[in-house]
Amino acid sequence: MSEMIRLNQVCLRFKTGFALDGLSFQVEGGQAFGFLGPSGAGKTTTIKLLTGQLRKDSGEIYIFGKPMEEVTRDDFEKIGVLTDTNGLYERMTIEENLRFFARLRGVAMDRGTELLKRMGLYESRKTPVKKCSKGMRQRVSLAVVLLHAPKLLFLDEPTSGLDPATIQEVHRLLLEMKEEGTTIFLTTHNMEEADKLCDCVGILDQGKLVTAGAPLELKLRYAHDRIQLRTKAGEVLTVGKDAAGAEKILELARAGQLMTVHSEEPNLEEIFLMLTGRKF
Amino acid sequence: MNLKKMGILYGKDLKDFIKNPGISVAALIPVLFVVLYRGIGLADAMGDYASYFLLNIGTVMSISMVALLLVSTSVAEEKEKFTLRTLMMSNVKASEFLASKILVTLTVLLVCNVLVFLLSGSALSGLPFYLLCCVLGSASLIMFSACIGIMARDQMSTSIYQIPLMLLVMLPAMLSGFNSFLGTLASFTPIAAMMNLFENFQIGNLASASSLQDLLVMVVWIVLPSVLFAWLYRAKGMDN
Repeated sequence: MSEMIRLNQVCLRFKTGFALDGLSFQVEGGQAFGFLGPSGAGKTTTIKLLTGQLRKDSGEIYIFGKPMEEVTRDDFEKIGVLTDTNGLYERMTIEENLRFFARLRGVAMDRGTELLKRMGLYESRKTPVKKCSKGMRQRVSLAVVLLHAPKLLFLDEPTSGLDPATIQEVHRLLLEMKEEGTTIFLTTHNMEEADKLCDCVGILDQGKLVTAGAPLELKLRYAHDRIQLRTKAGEVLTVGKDAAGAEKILELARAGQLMTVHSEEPNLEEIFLMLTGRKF
Repeated sequence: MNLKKMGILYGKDLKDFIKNPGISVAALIPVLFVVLYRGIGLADAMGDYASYFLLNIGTVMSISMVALLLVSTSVAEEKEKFTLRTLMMSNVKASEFLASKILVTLTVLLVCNVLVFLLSGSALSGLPFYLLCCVLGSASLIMFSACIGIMARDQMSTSIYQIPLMLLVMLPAMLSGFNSFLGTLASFTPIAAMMNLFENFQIGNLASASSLQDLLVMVVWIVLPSVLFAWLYRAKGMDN
């Protein structure tokens, strides 16, 4: 797999302090990388740096294997960006917006129509955007971003404000894009989303990468050193992952009293709490 | 600059101008003013002076309103509604974005001024030179409008900059005949300078010191906002 994104000791300082403080990570081609962290952790700032909207103070950024300073307009044609500030033309209909951006991207409107259908927007394509709900606008924005089938996709909280059915549809679409080889870099508050979509996640806090790895790998790395047992009598016991714990499990099993065994892996939110001492 | 992208943006901006009554009505006001003047017979009472008066007042109004309003309001709206961000993320360059806005402004301005010219009853032979003067006279205000577009955060705040500038260029030119001080002041505004240049052309006095002064005034007025724009763009960028 080729390297799509690499940050090496990137720092960015705002008036209020460090927005990013020595940030380093790498994303391989075809991978879905999830950036997790609370508001103000530096997730959106990282996307802005990677899409040329902000300039770093120090460190190195590579996109498509090239230093950021050498990334050309043609390279940017392969990128799609969806942030919370993606606007649409409100006096235009959904279809007119898609048609306009398709022309700008040099894409046939067939692709726009296909995306409208996949996003469940085809029936309401003649609706002016100013009359659309927040969820519909988000779907139209996503369709606009996906028009040119980008090789590298940046998504900042892509499912924020969407209803569960639409979230599922968006997830399905993103998984399809991943299968087609699109590299996805997404920020999210939603741990289930990160678990479902991402091959690798990075936890960001106060501009620093606290930890990174595959969701399962992280859960195992930070797993509690204990096992929870439930007996048929309804009793809940906690034992260690050691010889004494094994003895207890065996004892309950022999007595026919063992109901459930839980190894208690933490979820990503618990891992964040464990590492930073703070809640999301 | 990608001309194809600019053409697509131009089409969108022109449609947007037509669909946005807030701006399109402002562009029609000078034309309606001339129509009204003719309709109620006031122009007839002025005799030979009518065409000169109507052309002057219609041009002053259209240039000071259209040239100052269009680019700044449109840029501010795109910033306010985050469509500028979407365009930038769709690989549109700031130069393409701005060039499209300027071209739409010039298109609207020229259409308005052709109508004002025809309705004023001026001799048709002067139309091409008149339109050239309009482009020269409005260029500085269009650049000022672009500066306002960069400075203003939203549409509401554009008026803080637009109105004083509009009054500065419009009032001396409109009232120059009533007061010698205003007359002198007006000669240093781009609109009065362009009207004076056109008048020199009509009376066959184009190759004169007066015309040279008018040209100089317009060039200085173009250079000033261009320098300001370059500085603002470097300091703040288009999407600040």
